[in-house]
Amino acid sequence: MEHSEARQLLSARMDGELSPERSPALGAHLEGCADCRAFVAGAERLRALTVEMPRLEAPVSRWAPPVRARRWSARLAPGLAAAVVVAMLLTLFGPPGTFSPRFAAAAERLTTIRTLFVERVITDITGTTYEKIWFEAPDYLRIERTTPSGTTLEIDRPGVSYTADPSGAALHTGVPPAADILPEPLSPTVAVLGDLQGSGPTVDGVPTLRYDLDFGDGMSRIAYVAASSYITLGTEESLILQKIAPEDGAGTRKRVTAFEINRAIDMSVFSIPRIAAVDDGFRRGGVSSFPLPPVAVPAGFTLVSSGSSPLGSVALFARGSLPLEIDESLVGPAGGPTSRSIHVSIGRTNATIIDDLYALPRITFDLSGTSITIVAPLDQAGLVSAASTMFALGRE
Amino acid sequence: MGAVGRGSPAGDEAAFTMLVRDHGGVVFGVIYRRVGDRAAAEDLTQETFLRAWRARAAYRGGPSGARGWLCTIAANVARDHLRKQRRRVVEEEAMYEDIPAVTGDPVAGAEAAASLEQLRAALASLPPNYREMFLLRERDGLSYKEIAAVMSCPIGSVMSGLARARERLLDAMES
Repeated sequence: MEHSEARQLLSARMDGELSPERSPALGAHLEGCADCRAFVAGAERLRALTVEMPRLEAPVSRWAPPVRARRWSARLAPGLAAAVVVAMLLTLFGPPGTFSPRFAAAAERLTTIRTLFVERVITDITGTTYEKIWFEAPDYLRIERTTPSGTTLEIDRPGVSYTADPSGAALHTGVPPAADILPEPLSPTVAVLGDLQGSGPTVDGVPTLRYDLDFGDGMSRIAYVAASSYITLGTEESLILQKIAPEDGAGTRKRVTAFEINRAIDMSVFSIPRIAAVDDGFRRGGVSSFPLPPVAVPAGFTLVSSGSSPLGSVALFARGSLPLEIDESLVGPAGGPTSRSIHVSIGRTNATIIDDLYALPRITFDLSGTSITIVAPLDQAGLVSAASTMFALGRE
Repeated sequence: MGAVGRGSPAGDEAAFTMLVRDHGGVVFGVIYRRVGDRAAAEDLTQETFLRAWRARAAYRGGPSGARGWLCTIAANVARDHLRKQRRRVVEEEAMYEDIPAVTGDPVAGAEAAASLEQLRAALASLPPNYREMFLLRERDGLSYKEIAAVMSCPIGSVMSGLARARERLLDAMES
């Protein structure tokens, strides 16, 4: 028996994973091999030592199963928001199949942002990071990032994503379509998540408004937002020029130092070097093959792309420039430190709306063991209406 | 779900609370090592248990399989989070360290603390996948099949990975 084979079998045996018929041959080898006996003794010592190792403290005491209704408060601790279901009745505006005009109009205005070029400086405890972002609506993105430890490059184009960093480069093809390609400087949900405090400082000659965002649990941000009519996204916010996040006492500061809207971008900045692709397993396919195909599509929307991967099934619809994405997977999205979750009931279905600083709003709910998420630049009523229309919720 | 009483809602809730107590730390670790952000890991841990709570009727394993089941959900939640945050899920996933520095423990003594610190340094020198397999096996008690499910790799890779991890750790601790 080869040493390397013996090591694997011995390792499996101490884990109780060795099939019995290998035992006799292994025993015979062990008798004649001092090295392998030493390996076993060493591995046992490792095990005894590992059991003593400390863990990171995990704050799991706040769990409460979702059985009680709570009054929704404006400052939800992100952790609790995920764990507590709030029963809330929503009034749907307009008949099913139509969308609340406010955000929809805002999304149409996204066509006025055809291209975006941004330079940012980010200062935090790791040092200074420089970013350059090129964006061509709706789905070309290039981010060059220089940190104290090196430079990274990220390029996204339809169906393809590429990253390169000091440790190497990777190319993923068959990336499913996504509605929420929204570079952070645009972040349209600041006004939804924050409190307007009045005017802020002038940043690079541009007057700003100040928004304070509080996610609870000591997590807060201050955003200085440029309010210019031609890039207004419908709820008075537009580019975030400067963001300050006091975390761990040191503070993180992100400052836009250059931005250009709708200047021509040479498409060559989005071209990708030739390297071998890694297949993410996304296969194009019809929406009818989804675990739970939608029963209807809102008026005016057409299908852009759809298909499935091990992660789940995705479909991207559009009405003009207004994107709407459906995700179906085993596990739905989670909020994060920069998001707020709002729990709603649509008939007998419990759903969660997640507003996030860096992504388009979404509504998520479970049906027949599948987690369904709808992503679109809509307000709460619009998201609820979309969910109702597409999956016949609230009509039992 | 063998560990969860079926029938009375109060029984369900009590049993599930025990599940959180018994496995919450492990789930947090699985997520934190992949996401590298405490605050996000806390939210995603809650999200994992929320998903598990909703799916509890579909769980067919017994009490001993609960940890592996929760860890698989946790790994998927973490992977989904990274995808949604538009961070790339590269082939070999980054693994953040979740072992705090070993300070002197008055009970264990200085020698024990030194050994633990040596082990921590040796673990840090392992390739991330080997380290993750080793921790899931030796610290969290998952079976090969469960580790394979959490890491989305073949069982054979777990078997060879653990053997390699042990060899390299022993080499590192000896020098």
